[in-house]
Amino acid sequence: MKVRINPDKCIACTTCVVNCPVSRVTTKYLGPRMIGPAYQRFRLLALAEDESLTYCSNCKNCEITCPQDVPVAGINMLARADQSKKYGTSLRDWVLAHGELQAKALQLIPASLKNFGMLNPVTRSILDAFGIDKRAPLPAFAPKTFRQLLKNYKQPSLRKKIVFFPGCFIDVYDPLTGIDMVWAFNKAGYEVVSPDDFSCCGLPMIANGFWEDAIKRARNNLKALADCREQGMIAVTGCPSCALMFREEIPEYFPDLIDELGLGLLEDAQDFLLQMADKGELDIKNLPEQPDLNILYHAPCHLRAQGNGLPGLDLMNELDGVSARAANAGCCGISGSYGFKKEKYEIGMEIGSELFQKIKESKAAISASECGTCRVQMTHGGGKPAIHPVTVLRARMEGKPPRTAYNP
Amino acid sequence: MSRKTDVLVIGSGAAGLTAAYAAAKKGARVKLVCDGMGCLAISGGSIDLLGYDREGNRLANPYDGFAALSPEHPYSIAGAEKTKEALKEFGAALKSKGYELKAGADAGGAPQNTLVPTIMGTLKPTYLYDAAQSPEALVSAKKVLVTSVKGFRECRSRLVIDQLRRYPELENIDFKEKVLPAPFPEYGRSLTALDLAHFADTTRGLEWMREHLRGLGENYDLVLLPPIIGAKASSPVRKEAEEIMKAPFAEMLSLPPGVQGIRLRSALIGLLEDMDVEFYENSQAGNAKIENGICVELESASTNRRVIHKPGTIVAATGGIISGGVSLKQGLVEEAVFGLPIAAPRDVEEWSSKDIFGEHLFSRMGVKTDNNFRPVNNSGEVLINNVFFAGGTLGGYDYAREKSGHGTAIATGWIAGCLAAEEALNNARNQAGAN
Ligand SMILES: Cc1cc2nc3c(=O)[nH]c(=O)nc-3n(C[C@H](O)[C@H](O)[C@H](O)COP(=O)(O)OP(=O)(O)OC[C@H]3O[C@@H](n4cnc5c(N)ncnc54)[C@H](O)[C@@H]3O)c2cc1C
Ligand code: SF4
Ligand code: SF4
Repeated sequence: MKVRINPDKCIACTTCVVNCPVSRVTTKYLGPRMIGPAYQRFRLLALAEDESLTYCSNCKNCEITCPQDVPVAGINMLARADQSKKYGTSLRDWVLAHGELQAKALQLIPASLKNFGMLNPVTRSILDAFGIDKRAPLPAFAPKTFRQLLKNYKQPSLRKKIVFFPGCFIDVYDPLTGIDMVWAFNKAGYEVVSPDDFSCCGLPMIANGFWEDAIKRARNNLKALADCREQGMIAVTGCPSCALMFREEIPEYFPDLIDELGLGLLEDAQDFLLQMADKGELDIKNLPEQPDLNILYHAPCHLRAQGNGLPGLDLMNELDGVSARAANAGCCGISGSYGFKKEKYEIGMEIGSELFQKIKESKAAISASECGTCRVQMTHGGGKPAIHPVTVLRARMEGKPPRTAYNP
Repeated sequence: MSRKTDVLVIGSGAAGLTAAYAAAKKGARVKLVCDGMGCLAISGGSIDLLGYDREGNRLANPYDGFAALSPEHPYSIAGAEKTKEALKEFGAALKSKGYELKAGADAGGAPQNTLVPTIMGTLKPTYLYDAAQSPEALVSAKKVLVTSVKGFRECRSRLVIDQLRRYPELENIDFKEKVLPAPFPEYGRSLTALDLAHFADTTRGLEWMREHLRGLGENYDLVLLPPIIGAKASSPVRKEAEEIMKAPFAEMLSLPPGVQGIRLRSALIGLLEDMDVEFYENSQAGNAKIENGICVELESASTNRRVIHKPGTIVAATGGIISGGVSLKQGLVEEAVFGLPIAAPRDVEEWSSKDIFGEHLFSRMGVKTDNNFRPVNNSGEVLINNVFFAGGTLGGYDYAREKSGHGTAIATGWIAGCLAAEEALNNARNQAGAN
């Protein structure tokens, strides 16, 4: 498949090296410049891969900061796909990349049993031996997926419809945040649809080297999005990584699919709600009396990579009585499933240490972030609940303290 | 969606970050758009003001060189007084973040350039530097210890000493070398100063430094080290270093990444964080809409996305040719964001000199402005009234040759940021009054 990736623009300035969170904490990784554009020349000569390639977390900080727009992480992910094709992949990585399928397989088993099965100390030791660190904060399965919940959720019947792409985290582990989203869009005058055809966005598969699986998901999702477009509906998501996948990764890695099925974009749900508030279609000005709320906000790397500013932060700050401050502490260290892996767990925790420190020192009792796995890591390392900005929006509009448990 | 703000800054190098802080401090709401993060992060981090005059003579007092600069030089536009004031305010702000700068001064207290050694054994004149260090002690020192670290191959103390000895002013110094052991295995690559500096910020690293630097400087007037003493704005190890070594110390400037620039940058980012300056990273500013000499809209674009900004005023701190602020297309030189023409000889051959170390015209190419750093045409008429330029994108100087990089960026960034904030807030007040 043709790929629009060009390493030749690198001027060896080392900006990416300064900003790579993995190189900061371990010299086991050769670093973005070396493993990305520099090593690409060796790859083209068919030289053996450098084994430190596996340390790249696909967090994209290299691409955010490179002055020459070199797609460093993209080069790394392509090389990883090539390695997987040649030498196969581990079962552990398959499991971490395919959370969606496990959730489907386990759908008939009650959540309490699933979670007892997955999260008890015995299973965790077995998983540990299998390569998923026993200290890692594996999230618990929700009793029902978001899309199951949505089917029974009474939405007002509204003329305007909007498509919500839940992403695996909300669908499988955190459906109530998805319901908060539905609630907010209803208030803005939109009825929410979330087609069963949507699958995982495929980014976890890219990050773990399952290229063919990612292409399958992309094809499937682009088809579903094309249908939505035909019906004149806009699609949104609350997950920055899913948004990144559709806006940048699919067009970069699979341009043929775009030629065939068209560009399928997911708008940032927080940005969309902010616009609705701007236009007066979502009333966030007449809120109930309630105590002030301080929030420490963490900007996910995959959001920063999209050049759209921080609309989730802006949205929270538009709410009377809410003071949300950006932590500016770089990467949280989880990078999807990276920080769950046994050989990466400590690297991830070290990367996130600055953020954890800020969470602990902050006067805010709650932190917030759009990304689900960032939130898991923030709670794990920072010791305070972390919630989605739209959960904050709903709580303030209803005049209640925000829900801080996943599945109360 | 379109986003309003008082001041929009383009660029996150020394000029952009300084402008954003200066504007926010004046009370303006500030957003910053950047595509990449500028030279500051990879730089040596000491602030060069003016090291050489146009003939290539080293200046003892940087301000002594100002009078002879051409009228288009950013310092001529800013003036020495405003430059001094900007650097003073900048220094005071950084100090509040635990990063203190010190200015070189002679015995009488007049400003003075200080010669800082590099890991290649050369000397560079600079003006403001990390107050925890004492490079000024070098020229009067009798015994100097040059240290390097095993595994950090870019810096070899033997080589540094051989090179430094060639400078007449260092001829009589008794140099000794010391190679510290590698603090951790090399794994696949050789160590960098940045690896060691990050390590020094960990608990283990601090212990390692305490153990291996202890008493190192006894019997020496100065210890020279690679830039490894922490990578944070206020690393605990930097405060302790002199005490541990029992001698003043100075870090040698290294190849990029220079480490000291990261410290300075993180102090600046901390200041912007306190002011709630919002970043639009990984996006490129362009497609300006100009109406009656005012930029009313500006786009920031990233892959498959365009955001429209409606700022009151703009600071363009987009750097020079390499950073993307100035573009070269088929013999045409242009300012990259607004497409302002930049005068250049038709014949590309004339852009550069045959002597590669000589004076190249292309490094002086940049935006021409009025006294308030607003862009003008050849007859001096202002082209866009609410856009202020700062740093490397300005014309009329060659920072690499005269050694004035961060100095011009910070001085003009500060001034442009203040002007942009004043104008934006003024206009907003007038508009509120009219309604
Ligand atoms: C390796 C190196 C080391 C140096 N060391 C020193 C030193 O020790 N001391 C010293 O005084 N000077 C040093 N200098 C010189 C100094 O770094 C520069 O002269 C000065 O910092 C320039 O700052 P600036 O902010 O004007 O531009 P830059 O740092 O170049 O920043 C420009 C910014 O604008 C952004 N940008 C450009 N176009 C767009 C666009 N269209 N949209 C959005 N963003 C855009 C870029 O991404 C970047 O963030 C060094 C330079 C280099 C290259
Ligand atoms: S994606 Fe992240 S971990 Fe990988 S090279 Fe880039 S910055 Fe480093
Ligand atoms: S930041 Fe970009 S240009 Fe600089 S070394 Fe890294 S990949 Fe190359």
